[in-house]
Amino acid sequence: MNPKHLLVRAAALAAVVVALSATAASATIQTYFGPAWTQQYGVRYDSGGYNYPNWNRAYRPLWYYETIHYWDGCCTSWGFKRNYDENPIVWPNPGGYAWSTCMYSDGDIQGSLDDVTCQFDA
Amino acid sequence: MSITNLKRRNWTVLGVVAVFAAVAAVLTSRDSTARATASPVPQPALPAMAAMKNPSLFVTGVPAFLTRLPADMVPTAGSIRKVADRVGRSGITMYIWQVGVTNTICLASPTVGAGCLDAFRRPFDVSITDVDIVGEGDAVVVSGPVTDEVVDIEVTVGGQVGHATIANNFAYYELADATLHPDAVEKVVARLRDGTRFDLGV
Repeated sequence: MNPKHLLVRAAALAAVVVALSATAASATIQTYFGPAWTQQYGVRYDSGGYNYPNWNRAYRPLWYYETIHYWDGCCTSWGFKRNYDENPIVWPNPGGYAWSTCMYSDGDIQGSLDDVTCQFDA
Repeated sequence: MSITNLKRRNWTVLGVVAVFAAVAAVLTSRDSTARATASPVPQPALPAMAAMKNPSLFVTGVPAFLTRLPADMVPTAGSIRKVADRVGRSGITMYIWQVGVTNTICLASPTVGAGCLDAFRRPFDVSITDVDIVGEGDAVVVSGPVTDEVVDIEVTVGGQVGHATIANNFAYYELADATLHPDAVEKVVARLRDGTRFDLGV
């Protein structure tokens, strides 16, 4: 085989391996409130099911009051964090089998609430 | 237009400006506790905190807790400062580190959560947290990094004003009653070195 072709194939193979590795590394990260959505006041967005999340994270494009926490799908919240200014805000210690949630809860809106992304890793 | 008229007009304009200036001065001096929801100019986070220049706060290695953060947030060894070490009733530990060579900081605690801050839009980056079931177990905590300008944080709960503990640019206040929910925090005010009182608008 032409050494140049061999080099191209090796490079392609390496690219595939790198891509697969990246996919495997991020496969557990779930986005439950996507960038095309608009967040509503007081509406709880959640992972839509139970998991053992490792962390819960919310990215917001602008500064406003955001809450992330976990709940049991019924009645109880825990692992609660509310903050204005950090981006992202993260709760790294979920404490068990839970729904991840992400909510704009209060405060002064500075512009659009579009492009909020909430994630958890399970 | 005659020179006399021109002079008269100039005096009129000056008079109007003076009246506006006087009204503005009166309005701004009436209450130094003006509700402020954002600093006029955001202060880049890193240089606003003397603790982030303190080499004695560095920890060796990467504490195990920090390795459980999202992978893209895990800090590198040698960059992490511990600004609180098992303080308060719930034993709050707080780590802060610089992100790369930027003025952004990230902070993380096993009990009061984590996040990243590029700039202080208010002098106290306030978080309200509850590590376990809300209304049970450990109490709600009001905490976060503060700028060097902050000399006191007042937290009002049930009409009573309490004061946060501040050390190494980190402030925390634990509610006395663990059955209270986060909404029990009625008001948080930062008092600055120059006497300004900054209502966080919580």
